[in-house]
Amino acid sequence: MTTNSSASNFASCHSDAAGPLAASGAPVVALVGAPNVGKSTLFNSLTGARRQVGNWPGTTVEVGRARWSVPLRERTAVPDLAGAGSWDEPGSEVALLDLPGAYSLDAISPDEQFTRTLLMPPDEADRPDLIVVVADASRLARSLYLVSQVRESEGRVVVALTMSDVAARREIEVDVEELHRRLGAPVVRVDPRHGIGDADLARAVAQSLGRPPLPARPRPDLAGDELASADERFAWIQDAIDAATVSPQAEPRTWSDRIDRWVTAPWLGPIIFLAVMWVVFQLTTTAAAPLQDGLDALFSGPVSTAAVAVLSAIGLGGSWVESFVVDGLIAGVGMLLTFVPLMAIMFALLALLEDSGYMARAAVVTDRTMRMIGLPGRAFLPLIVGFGCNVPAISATRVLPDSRHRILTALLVPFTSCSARLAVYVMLAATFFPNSAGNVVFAMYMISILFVVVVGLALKKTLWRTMGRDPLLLDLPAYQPPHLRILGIVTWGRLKGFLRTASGIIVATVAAVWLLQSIPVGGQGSFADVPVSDSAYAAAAQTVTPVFAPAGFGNWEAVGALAVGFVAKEAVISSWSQTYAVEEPSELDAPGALGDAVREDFAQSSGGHTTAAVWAFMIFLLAYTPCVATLATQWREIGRKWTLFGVGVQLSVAWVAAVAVFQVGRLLS
Amino acid sequence: MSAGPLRVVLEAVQAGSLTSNEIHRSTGLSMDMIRTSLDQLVRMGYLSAEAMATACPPSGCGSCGSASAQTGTCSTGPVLLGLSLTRRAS
Repeated sequence: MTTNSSASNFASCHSDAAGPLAASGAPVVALVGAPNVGKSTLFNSLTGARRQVGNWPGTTVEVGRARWSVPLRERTAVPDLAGAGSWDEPGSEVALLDLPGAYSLDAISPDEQFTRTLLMPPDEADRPDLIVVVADASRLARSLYLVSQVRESEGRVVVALTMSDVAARREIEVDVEELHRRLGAPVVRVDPRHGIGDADLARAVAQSLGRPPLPARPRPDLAGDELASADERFAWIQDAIDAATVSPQAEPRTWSDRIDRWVTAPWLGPIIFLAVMWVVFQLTTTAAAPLQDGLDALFSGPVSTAAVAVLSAIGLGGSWVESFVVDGLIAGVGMLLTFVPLMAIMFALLALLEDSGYMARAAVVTDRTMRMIGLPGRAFLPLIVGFGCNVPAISATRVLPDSRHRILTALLVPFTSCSARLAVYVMLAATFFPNSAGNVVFAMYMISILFVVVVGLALKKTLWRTMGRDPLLLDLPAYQPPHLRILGIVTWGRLKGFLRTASGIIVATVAAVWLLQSIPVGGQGSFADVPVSDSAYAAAAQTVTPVFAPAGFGNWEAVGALAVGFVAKEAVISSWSQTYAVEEPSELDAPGALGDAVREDFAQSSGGHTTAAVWAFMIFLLAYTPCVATLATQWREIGRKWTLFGVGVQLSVAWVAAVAVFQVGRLLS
Repeated sequence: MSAGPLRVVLEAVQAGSLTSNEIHRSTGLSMDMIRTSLDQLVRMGYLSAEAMATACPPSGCGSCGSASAQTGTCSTGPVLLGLSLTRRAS
């Protein structure tokens, strides 16, 4: 750089400038640095905040500019003036430009592109006379990349070292002289918040302006290898940091680091994850049980009685309307609503784990386990989301770059046990295993994970043998105390979704089930006055019932509920409740009567091996197609062929597993 | 030429390190250098970065109790920065 730019060159670019940038012919100094290194604070400190801010002509990039007084005349004290700047007037001020924050000259944003163009224009005559790179002493590696790039061209460079106080708190000592030697450019320690070092920086700038430009730092010929070129810069930075800084032997360990050492450990991490989830399910089932019983008594008692009284009062007593309201809506939707406390507790606990930062660690643990068994690393996220709901989980497979990974993961998501299935587990666990309901629910989630693993491995071994690994790195947030407001918002948001389901698709399903249960088949009864065992609903269910006899739940009541469960898993409970309400309405006045009726049917269909049959039923429920919304989402994401293939896999796996569980259980019992 | 910090970090990710702490333990590089290297690898396209959430979105999807609009991510809960390898070093 033999010909220097001047303030008049740069000022001419500022058509919107409020006045001259600096005295005509004054040297131009550009202030650059990565974002958040204190560049603008330094700019204000140096110039007294007398900045003019405006968009650079032809761009939307905002550039600050101001006059900066520096002892330019002192430069004559420098003995070697060969090649020194030849600006018009060696006055006492320079034009200082505050360029947009840029980590690197390899621009990936308009701001960085602008900074690159201004610092490295095609015509060397347009370059600033001097570049001040602002570097954060507490994070030198991040700051020095720009220095390394700027030093690859001939030019005057001064490094302003900020954040020394932060570095000192982190016990990082920077030897400024050694850093000067390593970087090949003057280094000045500044503290712009307190105005410390401003004069030193001004002096260093003046002296540099009085000297010839620094020669470009030598680099090996890397033949256009982009990675090798960047790596050479990093090695240069590492050498400079090693030589010029003294850091604590070990990185300061935060509380998060200490906890993570245990929580994300390869073997202990999964155990802690399982223990945490066990506690979640125990708390959920234990705390919700009394509330659930209360709501059950409310709907089957006073609410049903009041509805009958009101309908009788308006002349609809004993009509099909009463049947629909009491046996349909109140029995079906009311039963579902008894699960609101359970869902609320479960959602609150999961939100607590998420907001505290633990769930991110669980993702690490899960991911590691998935890698061990050869599944794509990034697939863990959709699968974890699937435990809330399969629909957004399948949409989340879009994060996977490989189409085979997307298809495989979308096929596995239905095996993750969504919260809709939780309500059915809880009902059955409370009915058949009242003393260990939490353990049973926990076991169902473990079986869900087992299904994902086994089916994933089976598909990978048969369909996608060449599937590659996909490395993944997770930037874990620090642990934080949960925010009650966020917990409340998240819990209510999800609960609202549950209530919306209950008031929307479940009401429609309840109406459809009631209609089918009201249509007589075989000449017995009349519309809305027919035993459910003689209805179209029972007739349709009975055609499929023999298929499930080997699994121990070959009774039409259970099979009918499973069929309705194709619409949504919550509908399993509502349709079950409707079936028994119509069948034996008087007995359902007492809380827990639904459970008694279900228990009796399972005992009959399993030949007395009730426990094995219930486990088989729950496992079938876990593995077969989750709901129509999931199917629709799969259809959209992976196409009809794979969706139908997935349904086939789910039904096959569900049936085989259910039969195996019942048959083995029957032998053992 | 021996591998510099950038290549060392890339190799650690390829070898299966899951967090910055793991890279720190396996390479001995400072966390500042590791984070800077990861950012650089993302900028160069060797890794892709994506903010991810573990939580379901808070509005319902009409088919399931806890679900929502089909976005797959949401703004609540801790956000993970997922970095995945997008191209291999020669």
